[in-house]
Amino acid sequence: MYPHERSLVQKYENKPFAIVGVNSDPTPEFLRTVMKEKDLTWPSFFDGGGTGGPIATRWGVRGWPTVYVIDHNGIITDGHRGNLDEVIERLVNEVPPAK
Amino acid sequence: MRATVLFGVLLLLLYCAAARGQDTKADPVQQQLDALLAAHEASELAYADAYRAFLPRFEKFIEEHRGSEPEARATLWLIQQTWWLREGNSMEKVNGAAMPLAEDLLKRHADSPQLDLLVEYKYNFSREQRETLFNRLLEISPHASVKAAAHFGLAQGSPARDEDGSPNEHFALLTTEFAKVKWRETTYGAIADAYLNPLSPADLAPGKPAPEIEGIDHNGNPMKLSDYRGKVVLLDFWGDW
Repeated sequence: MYPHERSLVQKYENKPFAIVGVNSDPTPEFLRTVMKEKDLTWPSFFDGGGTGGPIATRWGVRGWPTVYVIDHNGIITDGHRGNLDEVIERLVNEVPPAK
Repeated sequence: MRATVLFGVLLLLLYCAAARGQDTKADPVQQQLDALLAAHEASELAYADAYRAFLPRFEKFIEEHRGSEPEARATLWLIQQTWWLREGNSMEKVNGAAMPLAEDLLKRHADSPQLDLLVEYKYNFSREQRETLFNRLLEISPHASVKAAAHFGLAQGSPARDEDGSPNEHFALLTTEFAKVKWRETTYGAIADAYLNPLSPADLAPGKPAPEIEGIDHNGNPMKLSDYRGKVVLLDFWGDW
């Protein structure tokens, strides 16, 4: 997954796109080490130290990774059910230019 | 790449082992166990084979240090690893091995602060065994951390809310008396709240506004999902495994 995410971040570097992670690793130190070693530049919520953390529990996540695509208005899309790259490309192009 | 990850994990384990060693004033018995746990963790054997390969060493350690706190931890390792005794979908051997080990552990180590691990390893016990074991923990343990874990184990054994909509008795205690007790890097209160107020599939369906997430980032700084409004967001639940 990391190479795909890295390529998305690069492709949309100056576009209205962001990756936001919810991480279930054991400690913030562990997360910092992974981010540094794997060159992960996007932010993640630290979810309490395990797959039973509060965010994943509330969202009913049962498998990892699980992704959602949220549009620029904050609306959940069907992105996770289709071709991720195509959906993101379409949604990013739909974002009206900043005034 | 894989070797780098393994090396990183090993370093982390050694660091944790060192940190714990300092806490116990470098107890040589604890150090011996930490080395054994780290060696098992770093083993490149398949999980079930690693269990069989390390079992004699753990059993020898338990025999030699019976009654000590590190021995309680070693026995908890045995309980965790009974998972590898399963045959296909049958948990009969696992349940049959885990329960006597746990009962014996409670007799010798009623006041161990490490008994919360029994709840982490609950998958090795049948539903009835869990009830018995976790209620026993509530009776005998002097530690809030162990009692909270036991309530959490029991809370998950029935629907989170009773028919009248109120939290089941165990979740009720976890959101009050035990709310501030730590579970890893968070609290039982936060976890119980998530169980009591889950998002439904309908809440997360396409077309619905994404529910807010408020939390902390890798440096402990507050962050919110809505901070990214105006951008297309790939929300990615992940872990490095």
